[in-house]
Amino acid sequence: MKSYLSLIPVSARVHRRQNRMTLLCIIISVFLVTAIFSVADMLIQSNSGTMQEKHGNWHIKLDNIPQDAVDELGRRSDVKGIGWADSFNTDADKPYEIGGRKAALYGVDETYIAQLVNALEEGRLPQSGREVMLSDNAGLALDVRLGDQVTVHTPAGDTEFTVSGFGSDDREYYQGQTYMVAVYMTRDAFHAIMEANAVEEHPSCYIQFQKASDASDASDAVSEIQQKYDLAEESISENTATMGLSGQSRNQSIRNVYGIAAVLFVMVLLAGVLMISGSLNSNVSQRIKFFGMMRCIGASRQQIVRFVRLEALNWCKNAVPVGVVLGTLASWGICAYMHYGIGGEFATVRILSVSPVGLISGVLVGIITVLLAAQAPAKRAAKVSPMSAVSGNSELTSSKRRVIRRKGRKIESILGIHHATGSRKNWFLMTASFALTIILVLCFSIGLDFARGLLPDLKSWQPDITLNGYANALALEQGTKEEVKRISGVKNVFGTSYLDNIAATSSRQGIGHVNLESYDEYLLESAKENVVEGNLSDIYGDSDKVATVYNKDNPLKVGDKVQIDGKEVEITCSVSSSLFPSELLVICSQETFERLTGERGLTMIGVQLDGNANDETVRQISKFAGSDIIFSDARESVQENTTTYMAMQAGVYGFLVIIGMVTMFYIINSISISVAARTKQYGAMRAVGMDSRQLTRMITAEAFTYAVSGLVVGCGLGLPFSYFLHTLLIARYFGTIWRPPIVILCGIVVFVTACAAAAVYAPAKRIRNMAITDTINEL
Amino acid sequence: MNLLEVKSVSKTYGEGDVAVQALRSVSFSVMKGEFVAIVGESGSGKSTLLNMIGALDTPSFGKVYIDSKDIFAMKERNLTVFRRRNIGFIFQSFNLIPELTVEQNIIFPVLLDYQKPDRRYLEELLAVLNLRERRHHLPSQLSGGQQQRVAIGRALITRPALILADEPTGNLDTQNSREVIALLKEASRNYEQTIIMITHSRGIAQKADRILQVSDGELTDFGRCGE
Ligand SMILES: Nc1ncnc2c1ncn2[C@@H]1O[C@H](COP(=O)(O)OP(=O)(O)O)[C@@H](O)[C@H]1O
Ligand SMILES: [Mg+2]
Repeated sequence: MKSYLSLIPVSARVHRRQNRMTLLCIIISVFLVTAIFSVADMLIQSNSGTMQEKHGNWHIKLDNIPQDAVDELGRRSDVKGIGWADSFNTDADKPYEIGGRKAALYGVDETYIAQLVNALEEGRLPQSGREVMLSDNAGLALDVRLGDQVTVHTPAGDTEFTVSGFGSDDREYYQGQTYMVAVYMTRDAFHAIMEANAVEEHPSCYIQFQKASDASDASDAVSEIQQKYDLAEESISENTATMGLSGQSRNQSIRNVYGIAAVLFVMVLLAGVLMISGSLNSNVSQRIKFFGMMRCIGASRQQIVRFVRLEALNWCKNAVPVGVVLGTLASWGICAYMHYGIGGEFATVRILSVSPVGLISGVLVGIITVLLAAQAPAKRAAKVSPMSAVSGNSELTSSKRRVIRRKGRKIESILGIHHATGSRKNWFLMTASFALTIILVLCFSIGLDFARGLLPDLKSWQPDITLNGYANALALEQGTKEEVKRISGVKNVFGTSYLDNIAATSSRQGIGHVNLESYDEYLLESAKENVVEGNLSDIYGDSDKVATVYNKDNPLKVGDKVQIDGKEVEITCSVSSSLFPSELLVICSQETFERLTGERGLTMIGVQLDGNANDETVRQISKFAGSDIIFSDARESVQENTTTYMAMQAGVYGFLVIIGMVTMFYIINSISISVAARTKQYGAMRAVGMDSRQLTRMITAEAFTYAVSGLVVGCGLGLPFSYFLHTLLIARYFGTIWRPPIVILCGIVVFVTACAAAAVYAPAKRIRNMAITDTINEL
Repeated sequence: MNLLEVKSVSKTYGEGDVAVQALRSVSFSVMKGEFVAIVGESGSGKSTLLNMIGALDTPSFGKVYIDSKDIFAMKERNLTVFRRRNIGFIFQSFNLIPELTVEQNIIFPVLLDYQKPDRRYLEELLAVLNLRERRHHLPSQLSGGQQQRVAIGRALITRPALILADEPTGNLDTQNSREVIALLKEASRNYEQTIIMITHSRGIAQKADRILQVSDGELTDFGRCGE
């Protein structure tokens, strides 16, 4: 033995069982952080690819900037490219048309369209003033191919162009609709049309720097230019998508993502410290005599502190590499799942790449948690008096014990509860770990609800294709619905009529008008899953019963009566969501709608396609579109939203499962340690006559004390938290009113009970099977 | 009348090369009210013998009868209850429950039986053991001698017919030892309790009615001392 510290591996061997637990704690923390950060890292990397695809890879956009200012910027060595673009009629509110559809006109230079937004999908860019590139949807909307002639109508006259290519700098906007088409032409051609129509031009200048970090460095230069040419603050904007991902954005929303990552890191760190310090703590408690003996022999307090700390670090030696490797493997698994299982926008995620961020944060978490966790136990070990080695009772905690008060309960239960509550610190840790899980579950469930709310496509009636009257006019005929239904490849069709601002009076004060929406039978059937109150079957057919939306923004409530045009209807049920805004919304059947308003037209027809649907199906449906009827194809975005939601759900549930497992493991471990620490005592109790049932009951009482206090604290903090988050996120944006999540609470109770029961099982069995003689008279 | 009968009890720990024959066919009997001391060198098998008698451990061969009942024929649960009611244990390391007070520690076996402790007897014990002023203290606040007196109180509270003590004075100085033994004798006399005690102290052994010696797993009965 070179120094007293050589005792560490020796004592480690002796206390193997204990150490296994601590090791597992460290491995889990390292594993979690490595996995989470590796996945996040790979996601962000792949995301920056997709982001650039979606939002372009320029960094700064300058509006209304004079040419010489741009020239000045162009001389900077860190500027990689400068592109120009201008657009007109993107809101389709002016009479500019192409082939009978609205035309949005763009004048772009090659740097912008090729380098900065990489818009071209097919063909080539317009080379001359006679060529144009059209957005992808032109194929369907105008039935044109490459090389075809198209005519752009403007108030000042027509211009002929040849289609040289397809593509758009805002794919999502044009994709799947036939109402308007984007026309990209050279800046000269654009200028000519604008001049002919006497429209003022507002070209924007897009700047791409060598690196995103240069852009923030260049921000000084930019603000200089801004001052020099007296530009308004709004005329400079950042591309938050590209800047944010490389951490350079001043924009708040992107920064939040980094905030969430940091919070996650701290949370795992906390959980890790909690677990490991709990485990180290009982480790120290169990070896009070050992430390007393060390002190007896002459070790100083400082030496004991060092001993405990190094002992803890000794575990890192094995645990950290194992955790890091496992974490990396897990991240590969998760990425592979996202790549192949979910696909969509995750198809670009790389699978077998090692993330330095993940590795470093894993190692860091391992070492930091262990050092932090060893802090308190080390101090405690140092405080052990040399007397503990010789005194008769081995002490678990300080001598300032609370005296047990017996209140008519069974002695073993009282002892069990006392074991749980006797050490405040241990009790706190156990309660905290239960409570943390519960709070996380409650909060995450709100997060999921929020995500679901954000992605309206997850309703069962979500249409793949819609035909919509312009400005919600009742422009569609009932017959159209039937005709669409006959097209092959169509699974379901539904129609809805909507009239807003109908003069009405109500039994409820202060209501002067309502918005009326009709549901056909398909919608009514689908809405049944969203019923909050009452029974939807009342409102089928021509009826004087109607429904409304249960929502904070909506003053109408079940039981209200509403008079429309002298006819009275009663609100007998409510649903949680609707197709149209919920405020003052009255939902009735198609027949009731006709009777109340005398209107027969439909505002919207929604179409759900089946597996046989093909381009021909879509083309046939699009034929119903016209100048007052807008066709839109939402298939791709529905698909995307579904995959995003599924990925999020997988992520959230995965995280919850891990947290739940960690808690379960921690609790099982802690109770096992707590029992192991009292082995001798339990032996003595058995010797003086405690039977195995009483013993099990004692350990059960201990476990359930933690469970109950965890539940109380967890729900006590978690429910207000959930309410708070709900008001902040869901009530604010979607207006749904908070209700106690009964199902989740039941799940939590079951989980906690299962944890406690599982935690009792093994230690109780271990003690029962142990010979009594093993546990008494040993020092 | 014999309270305890040990019939050719053997105990072997381990198997094969590492087998240790801790007891070799030990037989003896003890009458009600007797105070028996067991002496012998360290490792000779005294504790093993005592543990067999107390049914804390099972013999490899042989039987033990307490009050004419074959204790190893009992089911584990009945045995626990039997032990709780009929046998009191005193250990070398006192094995008190650290979170219970002196009084609670003493009445612990009664509580395990879901009975009401006999207050008068408790007062009597506390008085005899000289622990009255200490009744609300925790074990950690007591001296070694006081802790062992609490353990004695705990062994006596159920008025067991048989008290087993394994080197109860092993952790105490001579003065304390003498006191503890005197108290033990005094307390047990009233209820005609049988005491079997392992001790290293010649002086204490001398106070016993009878001395048994164990050496290398075999028992020699020295009979009544002084005879
Ligand atoms: N659990 C055990 N496993 C193996 N050997 C044991 C065990 N308990 C005691 N022994 C052995 O049995 C013999 C008797 O032990 P014991 O009865 O404790 O002696 P003592 O007379 O000192 O009380 C010793 O040699 C001891 O090593
Ligand atoms: Mg012994």
